[in-house]
Amino acid sequence: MITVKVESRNSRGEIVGLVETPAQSLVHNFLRVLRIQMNQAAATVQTIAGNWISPVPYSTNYMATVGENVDGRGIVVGTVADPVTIHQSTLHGRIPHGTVGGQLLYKAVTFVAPTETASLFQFQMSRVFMNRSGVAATIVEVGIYSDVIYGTVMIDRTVLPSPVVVPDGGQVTIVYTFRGTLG
Amino acid sequence: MVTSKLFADTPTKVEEPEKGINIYVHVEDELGNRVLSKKSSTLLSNFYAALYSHISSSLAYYRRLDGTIDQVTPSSKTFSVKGASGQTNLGIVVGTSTTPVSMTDFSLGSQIPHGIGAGQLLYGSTDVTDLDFLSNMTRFYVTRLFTNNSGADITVNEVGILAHFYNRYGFTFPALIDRTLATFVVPHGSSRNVIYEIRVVV
Repeated sequence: MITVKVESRNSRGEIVGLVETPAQSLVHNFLRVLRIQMNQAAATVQTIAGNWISPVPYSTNYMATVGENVDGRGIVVGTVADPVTIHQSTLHGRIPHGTVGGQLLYKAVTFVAPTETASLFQFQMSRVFMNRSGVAATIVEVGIYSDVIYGTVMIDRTVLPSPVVVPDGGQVTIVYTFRGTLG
Repeated sequence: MVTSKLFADTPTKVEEPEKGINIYVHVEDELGNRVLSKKSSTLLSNFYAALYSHISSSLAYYRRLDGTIDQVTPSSKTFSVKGASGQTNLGIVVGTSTTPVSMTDFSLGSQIPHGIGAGQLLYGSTDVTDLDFLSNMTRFYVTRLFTNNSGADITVNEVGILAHFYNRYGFTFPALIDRTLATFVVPHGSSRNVIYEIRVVV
């Protein structure tokens, strides 16, 4: 189970938008990469640029760590609401990093270390996006771009059940929670 | 395209898949007839620890097959399930315990050894199939054939997957990433193909 929480705050730090939803979800590249690792053999994945490449099992497969100012890896956000399908390989309207209209400042991806009980295991990854563009921004889709050797792939795309507006001067925090529970 | 019974839709009703990753265990006889299909309750903590390790590019605690706490690090080896014939510490494994599953399980409750003696099964190789796409999902299968030449029927009550984890000191250890209670009999002189179906559903 993966959930996505989106929390928007205005310039005074007040919450002005909050959405929490199940991810919609992992797409084909997630399973392609897992299969590469399990099978210990190269196989195809589709990059965020649409190219097909054949990564081998590798230590950086799935890696989504990234520093600030980089909008090509880690948690990413966008503006297009078309439904998620298994074959998608990119957000359909990714918001670029920047400070002009239609842009957001991408901060670093951070992680909360795993916690565990006899019936649950979970970890979180999150990213803050600041709006210094001069106009409000609206987030409709979120996703995870991960490294594989030779490229970058999208492993999750989630369309929010309702758009979240980020006021100029405010910020939004996206939190992905990966959770395994005994069912 | 349906190319074999392996890729056929599950004939017996099992729980509906959720969005995200879903694990099913299927068992087939020598003729490819499916004799059991069951949805795994969850992947174990070890799986999520390795996933965290790779996504975050950091260390994560996991449990080795002997219960020792260790730290997995991202590696080309992590998640490998390619066990060879007769190799009982990698790939799909089977056992006799009915102890309930816990997220923190690190071994089967009572793993059946490889062999032809009493209470033993012959482990074939663990293999991974190609991806298969249906409308809203993709999946692949991990398979292993178990043959009973022990002289008596053997009842299996649990199945699991052992995967390689690469630790912070550069050594590789097997770690249990799934354990599912599933009861079926392997008659003497017969084989059963244990099939893990790993799905992602949108």
